[in-house]
Amino acid sequence: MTTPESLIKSPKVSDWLDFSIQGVVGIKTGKVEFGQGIRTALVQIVSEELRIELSSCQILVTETAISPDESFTAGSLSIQDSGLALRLASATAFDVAKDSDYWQVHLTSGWNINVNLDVATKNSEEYTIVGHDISNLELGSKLAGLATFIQDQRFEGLLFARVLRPPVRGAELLSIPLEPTSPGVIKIIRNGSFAAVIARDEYSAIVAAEKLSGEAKWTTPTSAFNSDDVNTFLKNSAKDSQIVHEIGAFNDEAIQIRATYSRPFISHASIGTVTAIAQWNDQKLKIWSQSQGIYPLRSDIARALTINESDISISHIEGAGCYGHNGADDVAFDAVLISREVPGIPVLVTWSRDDELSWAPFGPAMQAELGAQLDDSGAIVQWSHLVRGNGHSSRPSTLPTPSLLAYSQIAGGQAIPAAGDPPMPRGGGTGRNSIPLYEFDNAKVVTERLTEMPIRTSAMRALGAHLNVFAIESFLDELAFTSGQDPVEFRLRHLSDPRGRAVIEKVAQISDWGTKLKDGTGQGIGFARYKNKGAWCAVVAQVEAEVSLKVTHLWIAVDVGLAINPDGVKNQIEGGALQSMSWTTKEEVRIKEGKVLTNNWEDYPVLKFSDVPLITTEIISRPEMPTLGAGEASIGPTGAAIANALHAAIGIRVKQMPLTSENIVASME
Amino acid sequence: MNFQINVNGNDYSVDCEEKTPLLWVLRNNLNFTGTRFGCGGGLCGACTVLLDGVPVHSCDTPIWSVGDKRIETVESELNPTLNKLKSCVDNLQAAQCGFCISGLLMRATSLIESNPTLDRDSIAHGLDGHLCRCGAHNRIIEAVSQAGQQQ
Repeated sequence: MTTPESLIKSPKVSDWLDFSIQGVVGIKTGKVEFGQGIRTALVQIVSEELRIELSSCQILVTETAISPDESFTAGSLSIQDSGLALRLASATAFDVAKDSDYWQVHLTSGWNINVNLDVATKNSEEYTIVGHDISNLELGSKLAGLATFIQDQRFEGLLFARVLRPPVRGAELLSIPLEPTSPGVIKIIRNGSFAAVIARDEYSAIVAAEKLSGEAKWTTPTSAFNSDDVNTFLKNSAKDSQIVHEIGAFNDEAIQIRATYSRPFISHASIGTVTAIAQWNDQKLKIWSQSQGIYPLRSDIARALTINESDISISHIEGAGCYGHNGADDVAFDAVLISREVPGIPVLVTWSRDDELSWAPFGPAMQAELGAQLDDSGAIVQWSHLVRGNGHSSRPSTLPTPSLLAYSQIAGGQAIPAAGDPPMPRGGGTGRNSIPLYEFDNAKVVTERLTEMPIRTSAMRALGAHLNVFAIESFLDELAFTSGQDPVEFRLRHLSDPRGRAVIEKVAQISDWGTKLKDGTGQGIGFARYKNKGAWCAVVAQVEAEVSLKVTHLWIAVDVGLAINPDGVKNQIEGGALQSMSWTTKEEVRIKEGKVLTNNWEDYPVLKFSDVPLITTEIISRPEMPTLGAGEASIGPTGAAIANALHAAIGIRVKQMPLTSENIVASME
Repeated sequence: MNFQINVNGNDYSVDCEEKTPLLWVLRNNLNFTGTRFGCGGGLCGACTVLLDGVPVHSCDTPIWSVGDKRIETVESELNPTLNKLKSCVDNLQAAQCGFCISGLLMRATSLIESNPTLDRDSIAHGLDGHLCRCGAHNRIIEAVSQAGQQQ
């Protein structure tokens, strides 16, 4: 076996398992929890391979001092990376301990031995814990209202701070009163265009920050971005163009049908605002953060302040649900800058709702131009796909200079460089899922990543797969419709991949595909294999569209190989489907002259309880196959299924997300 | 100013300005951090608590307006409906990140107490002032329905 990525930096059993307390297994992981249930699944894997009760397993806090460096918790890779490393480490421990016990071995060797890559692991038939529904380990304390979130921490002597962000992008701070006048305020700080207020309690910080924002004077920037012009902006900006797929004798002149699909900028819109705590002691810096990648965050903070990484330690504490690169890293750096002004004292910084919806990186606006030619039998013989947009990753440590928001505002800081994209072999960003899984004899796929970034973008759940799958699956439907073919049959005739066919056939079966529905009601299908190498997922949506679009039912079939925790997989798949439905039908960041207008829940509405359809999910169980991540697989297929159902219901194809009444009406013209 | 308030059956004395929102009295003065800040504008439901059994947004409820009303928060162990609801949410794994769940539990407690036999649509509409970003809605609705049936 080639060495799994997580084991390259952390090859020892002791990097993953801690037997220093008799009877207890401490589990170390670099992957962090944000509601997806990863910690529960990892404990299941360790418990299974060590043949130890779940109750004897204790998953440790992820922190730079003790945890393996597994970079980011992203890309639906946690089970594939950390899960595999922990399985092998546990199986090695089981193999070595044999007649002794784990804690005896610890006393003699400290488990300072290499993980054996070829060790025998349990067969799936022997599983008693993996593959079973285990309750989320953290849910009980959340229901009791315990202080589980970073926002809830109340360290001895803790102070609270709020940051003042510019009124519009690009504005520079001219002046701000630095004398504390509001009650409870300890200090007002300023560094270039970065300003903040430190107070004894959070409410005092909020009140003082509001007062200060009325008193601060800012420059008026000359150029300013308008989201109304986004499609022109995407077309005309400087780009890095790449052919990511070319097969057969592609001939652009043969293309008969073309269509362009797009989505606007979208917001993470977590229910909790990002929070961090930092404390300086002499030259040592301690941070508590909800970041998805504590090691990369540490390296960007070290770069920004030109200090040594070894002087910084970061511990992860869960924040509210996090679906990509939101403001979690930015707020950690805010806390670092602010707490430096009150040495020795921990400072908690929380963003306001306005800042959360205005200043976190957005999911990029995107455009995809598709084209095809059908032969006389109605088969696709030419296929073209061009997708463009800003990059999908400006995560810490991935760009030439630090990508922390405040670093672009402090004196001597630098603007955040344009977002990049992960390379296609790792799933790509703009190009994620742009290469069709269907077999077309002649095809060409091109990605265009913008190299200028007036509006900061970064990773959001499924990256480019949301639009690319929306585009491919909408276009397939359009081709099926114009050539008089059934959309399910049309997909199957171009797809030989057996696990792909299986999810499509399954979802067609459970949704009673093809049944006659009443007028104004329609069903549509969407399918993808996430990143073309992850989980397979097919979705059928049923909608009613007499007055406005109402999604009434989603049927989902998914294949994640071995499901470690089937109920957890269901939760992730259904949650992903609803988030995608929210993006696809409702969400659009609007920006006018550099100011984000969608900075509150009234102007940035997300899915409500009464919008939510019934969901029926079927997991195709393949316990003998490797586990694939579940967090992002349903995003692309759900959006496409809804658009296709809308077309089936009222005969209108909406190519511009979101599928609001306004965009539906615009598509009629 | 000094205020005497009753939270989850216990009396507390707090010193703060009279316009301080109940949310921050709970979180800062009394360390009841289970009630969460989501938006500060009464638009997301994360900060919902019960005042004499009536759900309110604690983020826009000034402390002066509370008076001697009984405040119930997610930390309460005394409310049998809330306790039942928590166990249904746990059984159904009806939360993912769980940040929104405190406020939802309080709203749903009052929904069940006003009518334990609500159907899916009525529960959904009853919860519409609450946002959940993880997509746990259907399980939450089901948990409310189950807890109602046990009432």
